[in-house]
Amino acid sequence: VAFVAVAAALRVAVVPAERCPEATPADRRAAVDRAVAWLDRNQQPDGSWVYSYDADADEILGGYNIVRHAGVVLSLYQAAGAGVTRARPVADAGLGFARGHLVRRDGWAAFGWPGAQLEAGATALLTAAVLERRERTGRRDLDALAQRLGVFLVGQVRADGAVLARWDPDTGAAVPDQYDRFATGETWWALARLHRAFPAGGWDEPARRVGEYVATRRDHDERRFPYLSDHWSAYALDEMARWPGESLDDAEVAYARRLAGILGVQVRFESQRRAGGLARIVRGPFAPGSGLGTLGEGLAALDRLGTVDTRIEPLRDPIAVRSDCVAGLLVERQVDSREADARPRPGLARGAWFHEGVTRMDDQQHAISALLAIESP
Amino acid sequence: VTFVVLLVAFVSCVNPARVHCALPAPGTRGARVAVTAVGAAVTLVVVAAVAGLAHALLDALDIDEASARIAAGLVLLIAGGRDLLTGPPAAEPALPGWRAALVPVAVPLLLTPELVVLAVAAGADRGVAVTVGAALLAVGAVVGAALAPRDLSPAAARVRDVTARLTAVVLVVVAVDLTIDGILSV
Repeated sequence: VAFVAVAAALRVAVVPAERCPEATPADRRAAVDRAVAWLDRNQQPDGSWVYSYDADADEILGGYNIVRHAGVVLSLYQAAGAGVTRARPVADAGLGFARGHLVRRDGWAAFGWPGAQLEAGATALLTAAVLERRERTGRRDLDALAQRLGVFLVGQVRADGAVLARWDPDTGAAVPDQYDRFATGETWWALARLHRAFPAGGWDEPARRVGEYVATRRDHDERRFPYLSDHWSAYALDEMARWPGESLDDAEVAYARRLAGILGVQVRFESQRRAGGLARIVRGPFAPGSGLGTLGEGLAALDRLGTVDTRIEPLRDPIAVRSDCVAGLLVERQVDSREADARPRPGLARGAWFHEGVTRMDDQQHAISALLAIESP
Repeated sequence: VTFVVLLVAFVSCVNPARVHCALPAPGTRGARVAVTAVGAAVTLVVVAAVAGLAHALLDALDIDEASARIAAGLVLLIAGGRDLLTGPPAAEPALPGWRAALVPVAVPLLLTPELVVLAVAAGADRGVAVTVGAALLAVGAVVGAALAPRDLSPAAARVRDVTARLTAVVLVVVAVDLTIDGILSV
């Protein structure tokens, strides 16, 4: 009786079956194409996108988040660079929206709403998007803008490497003691990319400062427990490891290993989820496309890191297993044409990922970035 | 998971001090040791079989090795808490003669659900040889415990009970370690 009870309890509560659907490279590319098409169809004339759509209520939800806007632009430039030609004009229009919402002061520029507090995350991801465009197209026309954005970011980095999440136009200074789950990693990655693009610009010092903070103190100082699943920091680690003549220090390598574990267990947990039945009750609903996508992005970044850092190389095989799982789950959960046709507005459903009946533009963003990165590490 | 951790896990899982007072007492000390040794051997065979089948079992159930370590850690945690908070088990009714090696030595004293789950996790992670090696030393410690008479002096019984509870604390610690290892494995 004890054996049966323990086995049953474990199966239900601790180790439900983990299921990772197969997805060929063609399946993944087709999913990217469909997601890019969603962003194309649902882009507004000003370059912004339908932010969020509730298919159950057939209602376009209000609000807009410019951090996510910048992230979508980034993912579209990644797609364009990977050969999805349809992505380029959509990305350019999104970049146009961002350039129309720049706040400029004292030699720096930031992406934000006029008069509102500026978010470091939005500027960091816009910087990454501009640099992605530069890297993929070779165009240098926005180099000055990228560096002005970088000047703003450096101003948000404290002496100890912590990144202040906001800047207040009323005080003309960064808002003290306010941090954000992802703005730190986003800023770290943007500064690391700036150093690779402009090696003489002095971006490496603040990037190192943020990296040292993230690797050794961030979760403790900002009281983040469980440890933060931070795909942006994974991007940053990979970026820093590619600086000419540089390698990660031991603390950063230890952090990369820990991050791989955090991302890995989340994938395992996600693969235990089901649309219904007991697993639905025990494990809850599927993660949003954005959440699942970030796991893939983070793992793919660490996989790339493993190609240039022998200390991470042994993790590449298990990382590949988890990455493939993410790709399979993303492909399986994307709304296809047949499912979309059954919805009130197929154009808002086809190619999207829904969570509890709602899709948001960054669901498509993170899924695109993940599928592309997993496809070609 | 290192061999040392597995060894500590197996020893604290079978908890020789705790099961000591429940081992059968079929007359002479030699008979008690012999029956316990046979029961330990039976346990070891089952552990080896479970460890050998661990990969196939986990594959069939679509469970990752790291998830199995989390499961083992949680079961050991509960077992450790039970061992810590409750007294030693009462002497079990024994089958006559050599069959006492099966009941109660192998079942229910040694072959517990927590030992089987640990064998699955260890077998999948480190293979049969390492798992059996750790389990061998653990059940060997139980055979060693059988050398002591079941009815101890009050002072010796007190030492045994304290040792059993300290072993339970160790089991809790190793259970937490296994769980964290499972969580942080890619």
